[in-house]
Amino acid sequence: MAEGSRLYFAVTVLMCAFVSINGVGLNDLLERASQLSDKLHSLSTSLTNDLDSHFPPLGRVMMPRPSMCHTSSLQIPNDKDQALKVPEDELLSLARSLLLAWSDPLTLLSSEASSLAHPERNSINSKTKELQDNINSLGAGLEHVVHKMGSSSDNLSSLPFPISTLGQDKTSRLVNFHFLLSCFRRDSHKIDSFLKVLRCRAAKRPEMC
Amino acid sequence: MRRDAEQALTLMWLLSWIPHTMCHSPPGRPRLTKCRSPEKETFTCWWEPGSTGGLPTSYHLYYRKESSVEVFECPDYHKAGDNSCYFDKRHTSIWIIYNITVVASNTLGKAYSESVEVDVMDIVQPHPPENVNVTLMQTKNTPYFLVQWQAPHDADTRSGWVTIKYEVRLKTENSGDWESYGAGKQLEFSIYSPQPGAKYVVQVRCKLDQGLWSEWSPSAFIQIPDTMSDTQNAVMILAVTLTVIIFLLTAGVLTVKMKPVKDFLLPPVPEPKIRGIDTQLLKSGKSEDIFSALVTLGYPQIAQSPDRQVEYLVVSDYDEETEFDSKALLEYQKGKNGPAETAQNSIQITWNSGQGLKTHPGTVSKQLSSTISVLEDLQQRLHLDANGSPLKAQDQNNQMISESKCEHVSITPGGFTGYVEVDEKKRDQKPQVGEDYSMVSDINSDNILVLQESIPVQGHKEVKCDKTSGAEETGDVIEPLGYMETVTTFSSGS
Repeated sequence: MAEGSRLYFAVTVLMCAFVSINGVGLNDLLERASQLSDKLHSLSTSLTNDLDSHFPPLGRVMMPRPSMCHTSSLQIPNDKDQALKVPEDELLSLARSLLLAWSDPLTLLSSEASSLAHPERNSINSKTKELQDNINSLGAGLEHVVHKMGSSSDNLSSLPFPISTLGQDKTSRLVNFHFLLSCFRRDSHKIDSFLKVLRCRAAKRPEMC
Repeated sequence: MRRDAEQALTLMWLLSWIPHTMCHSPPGRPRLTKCRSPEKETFTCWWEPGSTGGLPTSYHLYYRKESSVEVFECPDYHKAGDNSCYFDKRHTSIWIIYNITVVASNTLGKAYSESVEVDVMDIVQPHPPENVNVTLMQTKNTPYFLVQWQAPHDADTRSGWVTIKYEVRLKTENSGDWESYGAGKQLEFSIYSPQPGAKYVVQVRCKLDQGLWSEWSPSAFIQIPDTMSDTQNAVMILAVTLTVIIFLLTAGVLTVKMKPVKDFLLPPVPEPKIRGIDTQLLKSGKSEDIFSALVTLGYPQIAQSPDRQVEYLVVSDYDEETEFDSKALLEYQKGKNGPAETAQNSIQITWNSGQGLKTHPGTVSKQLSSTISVLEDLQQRLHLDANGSPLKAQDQNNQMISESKCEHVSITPGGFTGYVEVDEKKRDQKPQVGEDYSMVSDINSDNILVLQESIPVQGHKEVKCDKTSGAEETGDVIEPLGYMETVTTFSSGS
């Protein structure tokens, strides 16, 4: 009786060790990653809404073109057919490159959010911080996915962000904040779409999708 | 005069024609009302025409993509109906801004609408879910109804390009408020505990990722029947309640009227009985009888305090030269419970060697002081003088003491019986480490334990008292050895 229970215990310990070494399955990792990216996009949308609620009309006319976003040089699929043709490794590296490209700008946004000339400043500040945390979690999660999928982690595109300040006066700071946020919102949608395609494809789980 | 009138009439006639020609004008500005993409792969834009200016007006939609200057015209004006433009898959790109303008033109001129910038990702709104139906599921205990639907046919969820989410809402036909429930990705939803006899209206809608909610689907209706089981339940409950009431009434009536029934239902509470006491006697009230009755057999005796109880102080000691592991006992017998003779006062102080025993310095000093106090007491009783020679006043002592100049100190190392008893007051010392209860060979009374030493007998020795007083002697003897153990009380209490 004691032998049987001891054996059972040993098997359980081994299984736990195995799981902890191997970690969570790819399916679950991608599921979790896509949940995070979904959250990321919804946060950026709500942040944009907060900004728009009191945005001075002047700023709209002066808004810079989205093609001036620092990530515009990255070649991405622009419709479903193109996206479904992209191999999984490349999709993943696109998502990760985009994510990486926003870690510095978000630091800048986060530092500027507290001194923004906007009535919704507190909400904006807290959401920006949350955004930063989210990006870090997602980045870490995607690292795991990379290891799981066995793809090389070297083919990340570098998308430098040379800007160090949002501007000198209140208005230009606000305008640039808005612009950066709109660029980010778009990129977060890209990341979300790519990861969701990846989730259905690489995980090979038709019932999930 | 007549000529003026003619001219006026002609003028007036001409004037009547003017409004017709003056109504024609360039068209008013059209306005783009909305653009929607139902599946993130195509999209449609609708506009609202301005005034026509009285002339046939045609509308054209032109667009420009974000990164290029080239202007294109709408690929399909008809698929989505009037005043619309449908962009098919080939012409739809996501994450790119479209700059769209509608131009209204007629023979007299053109009118440009305001430009609208559109990104497909912002305008995603699916079609409502299809084939919504409701069925009533009649399970035994919990009837519920099941709402089922299908995804809009154009949403591609299999590839993961879109992720769909549903919401169900329902209300009874007469009430005004809808109840909404999120249904996640599933294609069915159960509503429990419906109101019997009510007619429900159910609708479903869906959303793709973070996009806009679709329109509500067409309503599905369901009528919940008035179930028989409910009325049956009510009748049964009523019958049971009536029966219970009748039963209680009968029992109450019987209880009041009939004594045997009363005894059965409400048995009398037994009175307390004390043996030897007659309640009748108490009631009668004669005091002598009562008291005599109270003082009967069986009452516990009060224990006599034993004056003659032997006080045993066992103090361990032995000679330096002798290497005994054992104990020499110094016994002081006061009472009748001496080992052999009565009225024998022998002081046996047992000294323990320090070997194998750990005594704390504190306890040693305590023991020392207590032993010393006992020995002083001894000295007092024995009327020893400073030299240790006893006075002759005590008869009891003389017999023993006359044998030697000092009190009879017999050191009987090891292997003999030691009486261990100490005054209750002095039992503040716990038995030391190394004390083991296996040495107990007998128990005489509450507080006398007879120890049996297991260590071999070394013989009986008499120590010559070179020292002065008993107390001092013991004091001296105490010091070099350093350890002293009071084999203390092993009363039953410890």
